[in-house]
Amino acid sequence: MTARVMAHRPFAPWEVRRARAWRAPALAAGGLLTASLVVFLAPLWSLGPQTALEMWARVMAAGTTAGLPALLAAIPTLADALGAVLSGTPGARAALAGALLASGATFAILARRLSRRPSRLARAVAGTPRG
Amino acid sequence: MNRWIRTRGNRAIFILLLMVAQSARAEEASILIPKGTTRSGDLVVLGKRIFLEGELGGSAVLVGAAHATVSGRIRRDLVLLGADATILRGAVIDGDVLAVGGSLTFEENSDGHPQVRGRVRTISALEAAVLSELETSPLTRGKSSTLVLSLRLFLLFAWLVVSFGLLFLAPRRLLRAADDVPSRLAFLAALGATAILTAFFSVAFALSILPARPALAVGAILLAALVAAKIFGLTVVFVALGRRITRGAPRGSLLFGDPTALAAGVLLLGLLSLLPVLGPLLWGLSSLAGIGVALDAAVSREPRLVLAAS
Repeated sequence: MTARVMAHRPFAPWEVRRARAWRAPALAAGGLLTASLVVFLAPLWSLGPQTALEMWARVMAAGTTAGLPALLAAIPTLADALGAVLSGTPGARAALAGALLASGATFAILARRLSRRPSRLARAVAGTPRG
Repeated sequence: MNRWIRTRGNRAIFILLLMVAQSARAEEASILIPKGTTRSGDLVVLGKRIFLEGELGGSAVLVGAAHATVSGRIRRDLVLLGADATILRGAVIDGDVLAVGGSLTFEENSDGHPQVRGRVRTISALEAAVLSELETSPLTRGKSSTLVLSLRLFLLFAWLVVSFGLLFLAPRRLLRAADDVPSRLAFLAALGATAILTAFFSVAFALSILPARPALAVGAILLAALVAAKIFGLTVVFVALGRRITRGAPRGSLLFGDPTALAAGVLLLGLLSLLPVLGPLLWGLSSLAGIGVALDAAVSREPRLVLAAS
C-alpha cells in the first residue's frame, strides 16, 4: 500500500533539486541548441568547423543583441520628441487621461476580482466531501 | 518575432501620432524661419512644410506628413516621426538627428554628414546594422530563411535556459501558480492585456505632463516590471501546458516531473510560434496570460505552510 501511494504521489517542488528530474529537460535544451547549429552550419560546413561555428556565434549575437545599444541610445531623443508632441497638442492630454482612466479602471476591477478570490486552501476545503 | 514586435510597436506609435496629428488645430500650410532671424524654444510641426533658413533655439520635431528643408541652424535635435527632411549644404544641427518611419536626405552625399554635430539615427539604419552583420554570412538570399529558423531555435533555447533557472530558484511559487492556470487562462489574458494598456497610457500621459527624463524613468520602471512579469508568467504557462502533455507519465519515467513539463511546454508553444500568422498570435496571447499569471502570483494570499486536515 505504501509503495503504491509513493508511486502515485505528485511531483513535489523540492524534487527540482534532484538531478534525475532534469534528464529529459537537458535533452530538450541540447536538442534545440543542436537543431539551431545544424540548420545554420549545414550549408557552411565546407568552410571548416571553426569558421562555421564562429559565424554562427556572430550571427546569433547580432540577431539577439546588436540592435539594442543603438535603440537604447535613441530612446531619450525619442522621449523628448514624443513629450514635445504630446504636451504641445491641444486635447492630447485630456484624451490620454481618459484612456488611462478607462484602462486603469478595467484593470482595477479585474485585479479586485483576483484579490477577492478565495485562497487555494479555502477552495480545497470547500470542495472536500465530508465523510 | 523581434521584427513582428518592432513592426507592431511602430504601428502603435504611428496610430497614436496620427490621432494626435488629426486633433491638432488647422494652421497655415507652411512655416518659414527666415535667414537672420532666431526662434527660441522647441518647434513641433504636424503635417506642414517648414523652411528653416534662420536659427532655432531648441529642437525641431516633425510629425506625420510634415517636411523640413533645413539650411539654417538647429541648436538641439531634429526628430522626424513619419516625416521627411532635407538637410542642405550650409545647415548646422548641434544635436542628434533621429528619423522613425520618414525619409532623411542630405544634399551632400558624403558618409560623415558634416552638418550634424551629434549622431544620425534612423530606424532603417538600425535595421541595416543588423542586416549588415547577417549579410557577412556567405548564405545567399534564398537560404536566409534557414538563418532565421536557426536564430528562432536559438531564442527558444535561451527561453528554455531562463525558465529552467527560474524553476530551480523559485520552484514553490512557480509551481503553485501553475496549478491555477488551466481554469482561468482567458481571465488572466484579459488581466495581462489591461495591465499592458494601462502601462502604455501611463507612460504616454507621463510624457505629456512631465519633462522627458522623469517620464522616461516611469516608462523604464514599468517596462522592467512588465518584462519580469512576462518571463515569470510565461514560464508558469509553459509548465501548465507541459503538464497536459506529460500527465500520463508514471513516476520514475523520463517524462515524469515538472522540469520535463516545462521543457515540453516550451517545445510545444515555441514550435507552434514558428508558424506564420497563427504562431505570433498564439505567443502574444500566451504572453498576455503570462503577465496576468505573474500579477495573480504577486497578489496571491496562499499560506506558506499548509497543514493537512485531520
